[in-house]
Amino acid sequence: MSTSHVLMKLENVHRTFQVGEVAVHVLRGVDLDVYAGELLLIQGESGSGKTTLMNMIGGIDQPSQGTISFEGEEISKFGDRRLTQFRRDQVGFVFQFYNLVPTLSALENVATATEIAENPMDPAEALDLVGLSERLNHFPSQLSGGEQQRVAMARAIAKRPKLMLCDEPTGSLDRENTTKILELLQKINQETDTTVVMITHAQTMRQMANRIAIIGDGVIDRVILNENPVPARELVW
Amino acid sequence: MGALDRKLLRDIGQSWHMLLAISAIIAAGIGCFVGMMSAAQNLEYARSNYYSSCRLADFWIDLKKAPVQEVKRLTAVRGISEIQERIQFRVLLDLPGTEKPIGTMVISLPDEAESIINNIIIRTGTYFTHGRANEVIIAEKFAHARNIKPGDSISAILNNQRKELIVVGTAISAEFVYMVSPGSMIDDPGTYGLMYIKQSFAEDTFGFHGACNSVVGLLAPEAQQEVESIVNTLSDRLESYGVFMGVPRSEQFSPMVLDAEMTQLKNIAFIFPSFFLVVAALVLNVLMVRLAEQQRTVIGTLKAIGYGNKALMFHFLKFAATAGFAGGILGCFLGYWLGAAITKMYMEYFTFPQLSNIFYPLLSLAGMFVSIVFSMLGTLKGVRHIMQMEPAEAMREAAPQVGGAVFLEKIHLFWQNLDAQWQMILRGLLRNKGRTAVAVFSAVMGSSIVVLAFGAVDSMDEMIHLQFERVLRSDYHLTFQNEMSHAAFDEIRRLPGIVHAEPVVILPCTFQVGNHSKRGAIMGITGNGELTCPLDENGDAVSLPATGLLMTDRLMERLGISAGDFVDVLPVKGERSIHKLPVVQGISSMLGLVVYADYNWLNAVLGREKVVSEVRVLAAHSAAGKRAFMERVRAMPGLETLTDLGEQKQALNRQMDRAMRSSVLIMILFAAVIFFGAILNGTMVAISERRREMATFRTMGYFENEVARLFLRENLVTNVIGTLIGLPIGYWILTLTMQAFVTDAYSFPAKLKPVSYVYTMACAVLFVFMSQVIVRRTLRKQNWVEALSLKE
Repeated sequence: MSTSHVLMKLENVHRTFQVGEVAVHVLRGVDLDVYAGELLLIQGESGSGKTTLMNMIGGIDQPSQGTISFEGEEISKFGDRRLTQFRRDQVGFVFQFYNLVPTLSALENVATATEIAENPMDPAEALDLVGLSERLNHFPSQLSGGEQQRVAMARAIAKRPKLMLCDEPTGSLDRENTTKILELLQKINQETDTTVVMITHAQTMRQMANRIAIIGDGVIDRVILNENPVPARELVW
Repeated sequence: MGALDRKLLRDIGQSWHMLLAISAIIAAGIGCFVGMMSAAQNLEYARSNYYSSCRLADFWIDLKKAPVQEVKRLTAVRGISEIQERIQFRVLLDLPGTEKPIGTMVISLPDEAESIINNIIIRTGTYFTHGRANEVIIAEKFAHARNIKPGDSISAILNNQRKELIVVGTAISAEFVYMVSPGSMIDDPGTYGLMYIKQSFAEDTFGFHGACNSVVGLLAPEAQQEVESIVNTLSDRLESYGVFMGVPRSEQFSPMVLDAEMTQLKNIAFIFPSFFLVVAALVLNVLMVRLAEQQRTVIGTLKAIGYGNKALMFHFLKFAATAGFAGGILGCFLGYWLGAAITKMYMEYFTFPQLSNIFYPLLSLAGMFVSIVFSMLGTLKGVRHIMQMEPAEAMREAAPQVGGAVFLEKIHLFWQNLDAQWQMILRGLLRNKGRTAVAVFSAVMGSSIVVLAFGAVDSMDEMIHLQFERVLRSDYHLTFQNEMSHAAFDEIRRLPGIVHAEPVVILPCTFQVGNHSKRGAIMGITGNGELTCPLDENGDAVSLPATGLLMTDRLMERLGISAGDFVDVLPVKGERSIHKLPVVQGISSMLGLVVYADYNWLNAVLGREKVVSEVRVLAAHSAAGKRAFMERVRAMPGLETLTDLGEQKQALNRQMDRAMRSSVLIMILFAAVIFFGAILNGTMVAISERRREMATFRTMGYFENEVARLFLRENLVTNVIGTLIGLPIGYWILTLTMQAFVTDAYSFPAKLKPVSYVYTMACAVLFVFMSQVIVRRTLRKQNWVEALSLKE
């Protein structure tokens, strides 16, 4: 990874939420570099601030203090318009609960992303990549959890983002489907050179990542380097 | 079509029933707007065609008798483009089959048809022929009501001589689009006639060779603004010939009534629909906020993948615009139909050669525009909600509602006596304050409309009651062409079939105070009389002062005076000297700007022998007595009209039945649209929001009707409260509406009978129970098992 350039840089990032009269300090000075093309895992206890950190990286939340830069540009200074544009051009999201639009078919769900992207894939092609070419016109309610997550992944990759953010993408899936999703992620990461940042609880998945950032009590505790990532199919559970 | 638009279509598909309910409310509003405005424009269009094709006069001057030569000279007055003289009299017709002589206006027309001012349009038969002098043309409506046809002959008393007249045709005239008998307010076509006679015949019969008593004229286009001053100039020039009255078109009875009607219609066309549109916008807001809340994850996700606020805002605006668009289209159709119905109703009162319902594209466009604007207003809160959602926050499950105690819980005695369901309902209502407020407000608007509907009937009933049972207690008014000596009264008093009689002297005059002046009349009535009883604004009897005037409040306002002030009275007939008379007290009058004085005092003030203009009588109710009385009346010289008050009251009641009851029904239907729309929408939103809660109840063993009862109770609470508030508000709107209808000619009391309050509440409760049918059906369709495992 040392040969790759830094895609994203977080410096002394703080995030405080006001809950009633109490200020909850979720992030307390995160410093983290995300390298282009890597598969970075973020792990930590529940409530340690993983999702908040992910939201900062993805530009759907802004730090209370500190700076975040993407390819040298400080996105933490962006207003709503530019931040939206940043997400539109650079980031693909995959959520634990898929977050598909229930009234749109698989193909149409992917189209919600491709219609606003600069240089997107064909939605059908994206669905083909995730192995759902047979189910283009199915609605979310007609798909299994794993299939829904694959639609969500197709939606994320279809606009060819530089950065793909996955928040517990396999949290709601069984072993079989989990493996399929991870394989896909790895494939996207390696074949399209997309940087993948993934939150997960599963220790096993450390084996397939390039690096693992451990977050605890609002700061990065340590970063573990994995010199030899294994293919998802070979993960030992 | 983009993916977002597909989502839009499917969202619409899923919420179509709610959107339909809102569209129906919008449609009712737009329908009223388009319908009333179309009717007003139909009238306006028909009027302008009619007035110009008939060359309706710009002014009228009534006088005693003036030489035609003198009148012709007036053409030289600046601003006058044409002058026409004519002879007109009020006479009595004797028609076979009727005991009562019928008051009729006779107007002379040139012997040969030519283009004149106030042309008539022949409807059946022909214009006068060369053959007979005694040919007449009868007003179509009167002829129709009395079954008179060309070729018939009728008998009339003209200048105290009985004449046989031959009917050659029937006609209509722009001068009499609306016609009522003098002193009446309702058009009852059979009771007051209009006919045209040959100029030469009029001259012979009335002794008017080379003379006239009516002058009508047209102004040059550039002089239209100066009509008042020109009329004054002409009246001054003709003063020595006894000018009774000079009025511009705007003050002439028929054009004035028509104009007032159109103005009122247009005003209502703007006010009434706003009820519906405001409710629709508010109800739509509730739906949109719920939709935004329901779709928060989707919105968050779309924002996360790069959709900006603008794109999402338009997405939701389009959703709401659908309701506006559908409501607008429905409203335009409804409006066209309503316009036709209102126009048809007007055709019963107003006579036009052609009055048809026209489709006005611009009006429909305006209706569409307004409905879309209001539907946009209906999205404001929901859209703001969406704009404010941070994607990160939106994708998290919404925080559970803050669930503290509501204020009612502090009233222990009350709260602890409620069962758990009631506690739940009241908590829910108080926590969703916005939505509860919209539900209550909708009921306020809905019930106000119901109050307005019942109130219109009650007010008309009250007016008839006051006018014909409290103020005017006589059976007949006998009005003379000219003032008669007091002996005429004594003669009438002794007629067979008369139980009681009272003399009245009428002094047509101009009231003047400073710069204010108003034409009117003083009516001298008997002090302590039984047949004419002035009332004050509370409906209490006012005793007639021995000296001084009782004046209608509206006239006092117009003159800018109050009780105790003096007013200058300038009689229009006879000796034209100014009398300064005190106004003792204000009275209320529903018909005209009435001024009363003591009969003896008024005669004394004028410094002359006692005279009578009218005799008011109470007649025996036996058939024989009535017949004997009528026989004598028919032969009475100098009698101008015989007013049958019983007949007038019946005509009014008939008209009420015809026009009011159907409009009341339509108004209640419209109110029902508001009630249904608001109730259904509110309940659907509540159901979608509380699916899991309801599912839990069902799992716990609640029956479907028990779950449904929760919503029923909730709706009863909001609608009963809303209706309770709506009752006084509706009454207040009724008062304003009745005030808006006030003209010099009429004023209506605002009255709502206690039973109407009960009816209104009954309507509201009925509407709640009726909408419950649909609520039950919706509940039955819910998949509770799915709802239980639902991820919000």
